[in-house]
Amino acid sequence: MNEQLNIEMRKLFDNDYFSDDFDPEDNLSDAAVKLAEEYGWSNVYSWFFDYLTQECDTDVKVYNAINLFCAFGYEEYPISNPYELIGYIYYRIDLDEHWEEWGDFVDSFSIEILENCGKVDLMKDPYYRSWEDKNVIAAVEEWSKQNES
Amino acid sequence: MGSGSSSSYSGGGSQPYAPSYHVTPEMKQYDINNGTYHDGKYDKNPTARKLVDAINGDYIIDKSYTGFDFTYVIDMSGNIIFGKRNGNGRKPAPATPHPTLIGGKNPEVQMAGMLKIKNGKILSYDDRSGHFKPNSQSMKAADEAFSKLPKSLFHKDFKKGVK
Repeated sequence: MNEQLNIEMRKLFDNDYFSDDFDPEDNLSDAAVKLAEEYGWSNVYSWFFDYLTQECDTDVKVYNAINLFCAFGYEEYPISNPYELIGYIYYRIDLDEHWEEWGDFVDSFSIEILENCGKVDLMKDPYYRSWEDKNVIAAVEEWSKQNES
Repeated sequence: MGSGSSSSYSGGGSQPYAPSYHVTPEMKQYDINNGTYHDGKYDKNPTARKLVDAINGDYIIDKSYTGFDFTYVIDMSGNIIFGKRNGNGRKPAPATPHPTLIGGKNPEVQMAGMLKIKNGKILSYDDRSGHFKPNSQSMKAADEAFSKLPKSLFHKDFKKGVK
């Protein structure tokens, strides 16, 4: 782990997206893009994935992290295993409990990631729902097994 | 603000250019089969609203409002109508694709596509509608409608109609 990258990424992700003090257009998204350019997207994503899956152990933390991820424009970058990412999100966020306040964004985020990775095409499947995707369901089950063992 | 005139839908072919569009016959039949079109009509998406009615200062709704898959149409009066894809939530209920933004027996629109909003700002709009399959030339109807909005509502990374 590159310590400087770690420091810079924490400046981004140690934010409360929903705080009145947080303004993603206050140069943070530019800084985020520069980090991807300087350190390489794979390293930036690797940091984020570790941060999400090792430190964001509550639904609130996960929801905040993925909103920040999007605020910084990272949803546009390719992800080699998107189902692993989305599976963790669905593992932590119970849509039965949080549909009203979080459901649309979680589904929308998932679709954006999957479309950008070529896994989903809303034009071919306009009724697609990420929580019904067998690949997402399988990924959630995998995270459940990992965390129960 | 850019023209947003880039067509990104290439699957299945768009309809020939026309001043307005109806749902393609195959999608209407598909919706009849899946219950989205029932009792001789499309229900109205409960989340459908005029975009101008969602303006809150310099934001759509508020600064945290983000979604990458809103559906939108330009109705026959030139209004931008948008709504959530899952307008009925997760409950067992008819889906809410593009035609439900208008509802009724035979919805007619000038344009239809997908709208992305990030941090309360418009990130992009395009011509992707599997139900209406608008011709890319009709992006000018969308451009005309969106150009009437305050520039402050557009994200700094506004994509000009490209997915």
